[in-house]
Amino acid sequence: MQLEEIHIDQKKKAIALEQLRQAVKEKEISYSPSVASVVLGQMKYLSLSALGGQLICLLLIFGACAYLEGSKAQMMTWLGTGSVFASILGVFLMLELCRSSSYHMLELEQSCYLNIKQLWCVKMLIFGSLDLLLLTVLIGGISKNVSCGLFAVALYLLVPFVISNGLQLLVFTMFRRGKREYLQMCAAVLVSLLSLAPLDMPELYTFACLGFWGMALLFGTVLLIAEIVWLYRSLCSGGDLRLMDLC
Amino acid sequence: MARLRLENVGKSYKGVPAVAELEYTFHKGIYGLLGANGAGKTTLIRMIVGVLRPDFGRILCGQQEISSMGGEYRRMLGYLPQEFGYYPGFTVLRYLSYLAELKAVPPELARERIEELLEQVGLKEVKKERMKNLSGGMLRRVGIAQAMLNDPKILVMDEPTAGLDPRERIRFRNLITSLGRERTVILSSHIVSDMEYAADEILLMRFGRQVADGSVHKLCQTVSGKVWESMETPETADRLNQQFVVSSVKNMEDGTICVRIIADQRPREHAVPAEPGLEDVFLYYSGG
Repeated sequence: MQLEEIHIDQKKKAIALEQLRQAVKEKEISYSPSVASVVLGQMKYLSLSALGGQLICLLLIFGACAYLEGSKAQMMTWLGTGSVFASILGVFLMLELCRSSSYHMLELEQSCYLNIKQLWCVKMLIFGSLDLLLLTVLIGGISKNVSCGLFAVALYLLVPFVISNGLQLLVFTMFRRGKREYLQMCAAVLVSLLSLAPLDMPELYTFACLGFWGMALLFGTVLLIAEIVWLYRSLCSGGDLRLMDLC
Repeated sequence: MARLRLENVGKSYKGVPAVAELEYTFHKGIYGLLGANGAGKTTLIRMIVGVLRPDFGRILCGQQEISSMGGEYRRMLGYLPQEFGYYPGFTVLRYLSYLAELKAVPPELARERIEELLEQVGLKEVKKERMKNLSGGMLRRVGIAQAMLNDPKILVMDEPTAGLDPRERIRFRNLITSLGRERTVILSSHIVSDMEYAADEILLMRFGRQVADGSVHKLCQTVSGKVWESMETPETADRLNQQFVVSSVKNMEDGTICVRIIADQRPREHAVPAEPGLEDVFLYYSGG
């Protein structure tokens, strides 16, 4: 069977080809990255000083645990040391979050497809995971050497950790760049010093006071969540110029 | 092509309006926001790019409000803020790669695109240089390159020529002209000559309000018959400078002074009407 000869209209062909060329030219050079690729992608750009700080913390935790084990330290010394570490762990995340505004990148990053909210979420996820890893090492190391048990140790350390993070986030949202980083570190040091205070009151670290620690953890967690929600809403509206460092 | 429409847009800071009741539509082409410092240009730009939300009114892209479009709107945007930030330890290449990731440019295309843009802005030689080692003009060019990474449909630049020397400003204007053929370009500046050469349409702002808009030619026509030139003695020139809005004072070879005055009525009997320029329009609407 012979195929019918098709007549080609050169004019229409040229128009169609031109339309195709135009469509290719206008093709959007963007895609929708998955959460995993965003997290992996952003890991390349994290500040080395913040990551290095976390690593130094981990080494110090190992060192402190080895020293306290060697010196047969008392439970209060173990818990005091652990509380100081727990209060300081959050500093590195906060320093990383401050980086955008410290270098005037916040406005530009906020206008990108992956904006500052998503970027901060990724950073919180990465540094939060590292913090949890370090806390697990710390809690594991301490609970082996004290009599109060894993759950109680976790509770005693989570309270200064959550309150320190909450306080640092408060400083982050309340003050403008410049003095903010120093104030955040001051907040962490303040909480670490405060977390040593109960050591003078060993009765606070008994089974009877677990309820108090539970309440403190709940309060700290609610405060932290409220601050994160407020931060998120402020970024959505762009209404808080101080936070955005636009004023 | 995305049409951007401002509907009664306004924003106040502590009760003081920075932008008020703004109505305007941007199509394809180069638009210049012109106004003195504090006229509301930067606030308007921040609302257009979604960094700030208007207190009232709407900004529509096509038929949709930009705040409801989220990432899909930001995907179309390229932005060069007035205060262009950078991580000083990043090399030019790393900086652009970082922003290409934030702009969701596919990794396989990003490298090619970065090379292409570095070529276009003349920075190929310094791509491995750290950002902190670049001159002000080079940084501005990196800023332009990053704004173009995702081949945006809407390109917004706030005071893009600030800190550029005359040669770089000319180069920038030519670059913008070529970019404006295929997209909506919104530029803000208080440098009148940049706008005169680069923008197809000008939106003149004062105290957050739109006072005039149109092409340079059309705007110049609105002040036609209101620009005068008069030859004066130095003393009279000083007096006229106090009395009227004066756009230029030029010393002539014969010792007299040519004073260019903007006034609704002939300011001096011997003053002659002059051809208005955008600078005159700017001074006329901004009240000197």
